Amino acid sequence: MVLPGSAAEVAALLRLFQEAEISWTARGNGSNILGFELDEGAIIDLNRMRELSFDEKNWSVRIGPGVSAFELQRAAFARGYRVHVAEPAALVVASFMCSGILSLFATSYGTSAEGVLDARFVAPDGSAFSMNQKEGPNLFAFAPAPQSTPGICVSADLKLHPMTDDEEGALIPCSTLAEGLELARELAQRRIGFAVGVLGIEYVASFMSPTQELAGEVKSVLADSLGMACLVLVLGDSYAMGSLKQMGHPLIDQRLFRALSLGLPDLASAPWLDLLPQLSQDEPFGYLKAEGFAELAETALAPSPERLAQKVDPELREFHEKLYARPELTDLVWLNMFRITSSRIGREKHFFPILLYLPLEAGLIEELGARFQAIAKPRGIKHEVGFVTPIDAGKRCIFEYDYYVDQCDAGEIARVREAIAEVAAVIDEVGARTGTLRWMRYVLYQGFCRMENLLYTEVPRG
Amino acid sequence: MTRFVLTGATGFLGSHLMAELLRDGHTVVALGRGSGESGLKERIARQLAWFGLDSEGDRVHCVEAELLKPRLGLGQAAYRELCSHPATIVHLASDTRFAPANRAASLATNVESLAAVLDFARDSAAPFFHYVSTAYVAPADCSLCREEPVAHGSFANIYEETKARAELQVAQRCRELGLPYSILRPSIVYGDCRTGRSNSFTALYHHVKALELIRGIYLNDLASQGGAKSRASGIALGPDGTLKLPLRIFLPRKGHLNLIPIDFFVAAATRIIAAPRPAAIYHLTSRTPSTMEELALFCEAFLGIAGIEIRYGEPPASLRPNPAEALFGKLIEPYRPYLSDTRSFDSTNLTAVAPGIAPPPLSYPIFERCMRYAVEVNWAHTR
Repeated sequence: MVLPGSAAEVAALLRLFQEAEISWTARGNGSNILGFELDEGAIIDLNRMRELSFDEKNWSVRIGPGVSAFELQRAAFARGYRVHVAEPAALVVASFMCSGILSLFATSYGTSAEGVLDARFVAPDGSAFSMNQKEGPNLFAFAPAPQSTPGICVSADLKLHPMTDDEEGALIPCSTLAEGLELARELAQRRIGFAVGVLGIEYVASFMSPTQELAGEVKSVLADSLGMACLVLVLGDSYAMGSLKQMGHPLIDQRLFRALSLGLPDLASAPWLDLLPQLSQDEPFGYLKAEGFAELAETALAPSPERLAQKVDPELREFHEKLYARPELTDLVWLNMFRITSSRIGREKHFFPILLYLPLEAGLIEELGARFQAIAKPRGIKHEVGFVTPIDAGKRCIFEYDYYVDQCDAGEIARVREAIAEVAAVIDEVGARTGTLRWMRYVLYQGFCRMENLLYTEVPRG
Repeated sequence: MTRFVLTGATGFLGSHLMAELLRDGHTVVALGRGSGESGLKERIARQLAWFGLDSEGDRVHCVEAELLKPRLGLGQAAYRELCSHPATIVHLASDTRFAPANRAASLATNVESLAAVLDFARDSAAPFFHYVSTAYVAPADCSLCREEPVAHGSFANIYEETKARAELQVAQRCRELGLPYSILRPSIVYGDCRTGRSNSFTALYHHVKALELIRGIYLNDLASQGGAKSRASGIALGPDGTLKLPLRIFLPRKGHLNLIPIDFFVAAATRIIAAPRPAAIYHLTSRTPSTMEELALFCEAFLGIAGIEIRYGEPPASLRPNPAEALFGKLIEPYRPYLSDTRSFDSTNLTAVAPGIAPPPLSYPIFERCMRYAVEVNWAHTR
């Protein structure tokens, strides 16, 4: 394991490894989003390269490969900006190298090269090049086939995005996945909200709940008692929130979300809960439109950090009380921009995300979801819709379907491997039929490609 | 004994009519769909069990059919077999939701499905076709509604509109086919006034359910959480345990709610079916509709609350509804037009065919019996 501290040291190492024919792997935090393991040979750990400098005149921040998403976002946020990043512990440059950034913010910030102004690399032979160099390797291109690494990214200049002081979040419950997908497409098309995502109930229940047990109860409440198939999360300014209301959607607004989050223990056992869906058969979730519903929810749930903390182990209660007393922990915008929301999803088991870029068409997504489910179910693999995020004005989307695997269970690992092979065949078949599918598997090492090349370059049809 | 084909036999009115026909010794063919993971047969079996008619199952034939498809979605052989036994058809299947968002579904279920059902009536040489509609196909501004074909007018919701369109279609198509038909127009139906039993808890029950939900939230707040939120909305427990729950309901004008018990519907419908008169329209309605003030008092007495106030006219611009009022207002929104309805219904045709059968006025004992049953069965919900 070697820990270079600069681009020059990285270059020297790669030259040495080439001469000595030593294979190498660059690492950020140990594995990438698909869970690939480290290879044989030298491991180049880039954690020491922590450059973090702002060029506000050019709306740019330069980072070294050792900077984590949380560190970067915190620094940007302190200056009044936002950066498009992955989960808090992920190293940002590694995220780009692997896949580009996948998040609900892709709705407005795009994906892959859309988030980057420039990046500097050391090629396997030790030579240096940058993205914005005419005679350098063309990282903007995308090929729908496995690729080898172009080298090591030693620094990247990322886009800074502006924020406004009236940003808010809202969740819109939907009775069917198709309804949620249609809504997400419409919002993206109308440019309402700067982050939009259709979230599966497992995803929402996990991110709201401090314990796995509570997550299970919340999932049952949302899905079985209240009849929610998914929720569409929208982050936007006050004009976006106004538009959502004007469109007539029932909303779980920021205040209600806070009441639900801190009142989860009572939500799971509320005796009146079953009456709500019975009373809104004409207009599912119409009760959310009642003026003062959030206040009524506060009356019903008595939300407080203390109450929520009663649900965690005794030795963790004091910590949780302090943690949830912070407004950020129930602030949908903060939770999403720092990517706290998605970081709880793998709490019960490791999850293997099946990630696809494809048209935002309910029929296609439902077909794929049904086939992934049919592969997982007979093998006893836990499986759920993760999220769907519209990109490029709703012309395409990112679709994540998750398989969960217990990493300590060799049998389950074998079953998931077998299932993934079948998933690959389904994706290849549907991809050949439609010519519009891009599987994340092929995006590895192409995270700096031009978004349009990734989304729209024609794939040879079968 | 007669053979009947029923659509909507798993619904509120349909299941009660099916049960009565079976009790009278008739044979019933139920046309319909499964729901969720339950097939039609299972759904019908559940209904029969509810009526204590498990042993009558051999006189019920279930046919999984799709009313929106030609030949009811059946294969040729199955359709031919179904048509080979002429039977009186009673068409009750209906989408009873009111919201405009359900327009497409309502049109499909209430209007478009008639094509296949009437084709089936023709192909099976049905001796009679009974269509169950609603009294509220009459225009809202009609003071005395006659048992006559629907007139043009405005409708309170998509349900009324589609039922009116369906009536016109039934009449026209049956005339073309030379098929005798009748139209039954019940008003708002609640449970059995003698036993309180019911297997559906909408309409009248909806308001009580909404009040129970709100009451539960505030009682819990007062009992377990100190009641600060309740007090802020003027909600408190009286010394006798009554919950003071200020709830102002603004209605455009004084009206009445025309309510009939399911046992009256069944008695009237079976008389009509037993002596069918071609092209007759029947109002199955109450001659003594309930006022909102009466119903508010019944709700208060049953739920142990006080403070429901019916006010007429526009709410003042300065009105700031408390959260309980706002939620109650939202939950009863679909039914709001009926709370100030002024229509009265002539029932000459019904009186002629079923003299001596009339619904009782909704008294507090009947109300209490019905609501007590609803609460006992947890509004038919199992979690």
